[in-house]
Formats: sequence, C-alpha cells, structure tokens
Amino acid sequence: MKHYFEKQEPYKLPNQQGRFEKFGGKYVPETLISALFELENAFNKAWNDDSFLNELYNLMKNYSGRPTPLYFAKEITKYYGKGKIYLKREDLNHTGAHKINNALGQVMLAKKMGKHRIIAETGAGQHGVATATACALFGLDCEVYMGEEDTKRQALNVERMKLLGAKVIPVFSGSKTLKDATSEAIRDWVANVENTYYVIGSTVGPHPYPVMVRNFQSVIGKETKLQILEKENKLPDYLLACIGGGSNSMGMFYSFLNDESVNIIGLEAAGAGIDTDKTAASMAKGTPGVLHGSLSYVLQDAYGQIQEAYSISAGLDYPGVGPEHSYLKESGRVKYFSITDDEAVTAFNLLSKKEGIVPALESSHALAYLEKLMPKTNRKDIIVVCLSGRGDKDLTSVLNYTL
Amino acid sequence: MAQEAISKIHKSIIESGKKPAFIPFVEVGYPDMEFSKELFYLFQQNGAAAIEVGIPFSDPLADGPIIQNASKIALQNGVNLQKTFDLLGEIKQDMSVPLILFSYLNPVLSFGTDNFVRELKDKNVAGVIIPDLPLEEAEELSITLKENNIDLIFLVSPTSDNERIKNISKKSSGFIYLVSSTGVTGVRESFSTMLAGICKKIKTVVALPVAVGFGVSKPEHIKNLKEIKVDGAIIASSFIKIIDQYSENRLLALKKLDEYIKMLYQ
Repeated sequence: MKHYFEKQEPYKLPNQQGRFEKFGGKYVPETLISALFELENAFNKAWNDDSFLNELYNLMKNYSGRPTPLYFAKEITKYYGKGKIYLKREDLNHTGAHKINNALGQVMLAKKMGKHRIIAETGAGQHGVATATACALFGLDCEVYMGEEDTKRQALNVERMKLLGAKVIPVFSGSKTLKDATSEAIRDWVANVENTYYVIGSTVGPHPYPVMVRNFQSVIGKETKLQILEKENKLPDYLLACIGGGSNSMGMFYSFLNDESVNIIGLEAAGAGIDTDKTAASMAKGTPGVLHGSLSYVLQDAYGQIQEAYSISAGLDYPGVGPEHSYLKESGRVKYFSITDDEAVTAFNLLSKKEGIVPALESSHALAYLEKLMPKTNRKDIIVVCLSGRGDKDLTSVLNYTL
Repeated sequence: MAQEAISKIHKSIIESGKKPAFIPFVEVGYPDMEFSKELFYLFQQNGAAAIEVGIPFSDPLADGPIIQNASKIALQNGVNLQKTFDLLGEIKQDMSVPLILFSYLNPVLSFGTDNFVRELKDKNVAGVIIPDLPLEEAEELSITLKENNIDLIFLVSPTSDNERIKNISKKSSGFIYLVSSTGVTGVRESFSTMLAGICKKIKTVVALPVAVGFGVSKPEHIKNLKEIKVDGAIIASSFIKIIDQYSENRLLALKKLDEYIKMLYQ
C-alpha cells in the first residue's frame, strides 16, 4: 500500500513558531499551550511515519473511496466552448465532501494519542458529519458545536450527526454561525484539555492545525497531479478551489505551488457583494488580525472587533481565513477573487443541469469563476476545479433563494 | 540577573492590608460607561490593590458566559479602546490604585502598539494582561512595555509544566496571574489542591507576587487562597452577576457590591 500525501515541500513553511512569514502563530490562552505542543509532537511523529500514513490512506481508499476521480466535464466544456474543464470529485468521498480526509487523519491521531473524547466545530455540517463518522468508526465519544443558525440551514446534517452517535451542541452567541461554534469549541477545549482532542475542520486555528489539516488534505492535489499527467500528459493551466477557512483549496494547491506554469486561483464568498456589509470575503475586505489562535486576514472594524460574516454557503460563512492563504496572497503565488451568492447559485444550477452533478454551494463558488475565466482561455488550456462536496445539503437554501 | 526595583503593582499587592490582596475587574461599558466609572471609585474605596480594566471583545475565547454577555453589551454601547482611554483620562486624577488593562490581542493590534503605549503612559496605566498572548508570541510587546515601565502580566495555568513556569516567571513583572483551574472565567465551587503546589513552584523561581483568578467568588475561596499563601485574588464574574441582578437600581447595585466585597473579606 502506497499513500498519496504530498511529502515534497514547496517551501520550508511554517517555521518552528508555526509562522508563514508574519501569518499564523499560536495566539491562545496559556491553558492550551501544552496541548498544542503535545499535538505538534504527535503529529510530526505520525507525519514522518510511513506506516501511519499508509494505514490512513488505506482507510481513505477502502472506507471513503479514494482516489476520487478526476472527471472530464464534457458538457460544461462544450457549454463554454473553450478550454477543457476537469472536476476533482471530492464530492464522491464517503459523507459527501473532502472533510473526511482531515477527520480520518485527526481522529486516527487522537486515537493513537489515547484521547477518548473528541470535539469539533462545524458550519455547513460537513466537517461535523465527517468527524462524527470517524468517531463512530474508531469508537470515540464525539460532541459537535454548531451555530444555531446553521442547525436550521443544515438540519439534515444535524440528524446525520445524531444518527452517527454524536452530540450536537447548538451555539447561541454572536451570529450563531461557524465563528461562534469555533469559539465555543475552543472554550470547551480549554476546560477539558486533559482528556479531549479538538478536531479543527479547516486550515485555521493555532499552529499546528493549519499545517496538519493542509497535509492531511494534500491527497487532493497529489492525486490530481498524477491523474492529470496520466490523462493529458501535462499540468493544468488553471486550478480553481473555493476558500472558507481554506482546507480543500490548500489541499489542492499544495502540490502545485512550485509549478510556475499553473495559475492558481482561490475563490472566496462575496455574499451579497464585497461593497456591502453582507460578505465573507476576508481577503478582499479584511486586514491582518488575530482570530481563533492565528494571525491572518480577518473581517474587523476600526477597533479590532471581529465582524460577522455572511454567505449563502454555511461552509464559507467565516470572517477569517487560514494563515497560509494570507501568506500566498501576499507572496502573489495564488490569486484570490470573490463570488457573490447570485453567481454561486447560478453555477449550482448550471452544473446540476449540464453534468447531472449537484455541487455543494461552497464548491459552486469555484465553479462560478468559470464564467469569468473561460472566455479568456483557449482550447488547449486545461482547467481543474476542486469539487469539494455534494450539494444535497443545500437544496433548501437554494430553493429559498431568489435570483 | 540584576536586582530590579519592584513595580507599582507589585508593591501595591505586597503592601495591601487585605490578604490576599483584592484585585477586582471592571468590564468597561457594562452596563454603561457611567456605571463603570462608579465602579472604579467603589473598588478603590474598598481597598483594591489594583483594578483590572476589561476591554470588551467580540470573541472572548477565555471567558465564560457571564463576561461574554457583559462584553457583548459593552460593545453594543459602542465601547472601544479609545473610549476606554478617554474614561481613564477622566478618573486619572482620583485614582491612586494601579490600573491594569485587560484586553484580548486583536483590539491592541488594531490600535497600534505605539498608540497603545502612548495612551497607557498618558493615563497612568501600570500593567497589561493579554489572555491570548502566550509567552511565545509576546517578545515584541514585552520589550516595548518594559522600556516604558509598564508591567506585562503573564498567565500560568495548571497545565503549564515546570519549564514553562520558569520561563513565564522570568518574563513577567507586576505579578503572576495563576489560573485557578482549566476552563474559562466564571464562578466555581472550589479550587484544585494542585494550586498550592503551583504557587509554591512559582515562588521558588521568581520573587513576584502570585494572584489567582478564574472563579474566585466566595469567602471560603479567599480564606483558602490566604492559607496557601497566594498574594492576590482576582474577582470578576461574580461582580457582573450582582450588577446583572440589580440592573434596574444603580444605587442598590453599588450597595450590594459594597456588601459583597466586605462579605468576601469578613
């Protein structure tokens, strides 16, 4: 058994302090510091142990269906009449999104660390479901914090988590969405740090979470690279992925960062528009600040209060972004643009009708960028979009949305 | 290490008539600015050795529901770091008690370090506590504050190991803020027996007072802390609970707070 995690590092980041140049770090209460060191040691050991990685990839293969296909989307390619569009089908993972890659990795690590109680935060519910699934499989107790607003938007996922044996704790503070669920999960961890493992679902939070989540998700890009070389005998010209905290995109981008010919584009959620106050575009509208343990771009007011984010997509409805994305934005290696609710819903409908694939609203943000990109491409260009999840969970949101 | 003069906060704690010294917390702007102002006077009259000036934050990770709620209301009242400094300017002539600014990091970053330090000096603020700024991330601010003779007070937790306790103690000034137990701020029934051990350990590495916070709310706690030779008691959430309870009647709320402090130290 051979694993497909990306072990070739494009750069020596983060540094010892968990920094991607100025971004990242460990801005947490003292009570959590020893747990973060313990986690960092356990993760480094696991990451440098091929038997751990092989065991994990074997599980991803037999349990979750990896490698996921790289599908040539003939119909939308024909629709745009320009370059060739491929979809990396992370939606075909067990539980319906890329989140399971990270959840299996972290829960397996927690089991090896001897932790019996697992907590997680969730926005759209996909990370919560993935963590609940992994906990059911490994026989660990699982509690998931979810903003009360999201428990309504994503009621089906709440029921799924319960079915899997997890306890779902609704969070009533703040905007009652992902930011508040994350804060509450951190408070739980501060109180129960000795027996509890906190599975963060994205490339956010204090070091070592951003690097750990990226590395577990790196299977996406590593597989994609091998698949596209096999199918086309060349690297893609464009890579597109959506960004909330940024885990599917970091996982997709990581293997390509040193391939200069590849244009890498991250799409964040503009919500009602970046010129309104109903947005989640932290890189377009935010400034560097500290939220949930790391320094990164964040939506904040003039006095450093974190602002509430808004997006139709619960998974992108977050006022921050992973520190590595902030670094990649400043270095210029990755370009970031934002997509409105309208554009995402249009893309959601288009892919469903043209390809018979219902994409998650999150992934629809990456698909929506094709409208702008495709006219600029030519027939030889190859575009890969990370289809991070399936959209069944979003039917209600889309049906209630008037374009 | 060169022998340094002890700071204003340090001196005030060790010379306090109350054992352990009384260190109350004010959530600025809760329930409003006028009331916060009254609280500074009330605490000073009741022999506070230092007063923590709490800056509201949208995402207070280290705080339980009581302070979270107070912080939310203060933010709704439009409180920010600048308005807090303005308030401190109004009471500066009357305050002989050293003031300690308690803020999460992001409002400080947003305000800018130079601005922040200038205001601290101008308003006679003697120390700073930043609960989400652990030792690893604090070097820059630590140097700047030291140059300006402002204490940077670090937290030690029951999960901090010996090596960390040593390193934190060396970098601290004013006092060491010992977190009573794992978890967020809020009222607690009792404290772990480990506390005495940690307190002793700190005192073997550094000649600084130790003050315990997170959950201190009962006369038994005060007695207990005195027995294990803790130098200061930091009290926050239980004051906010009382203010909550008597919020319709300001004078009564102040009277109840006064009685409560006297009861704690009976």
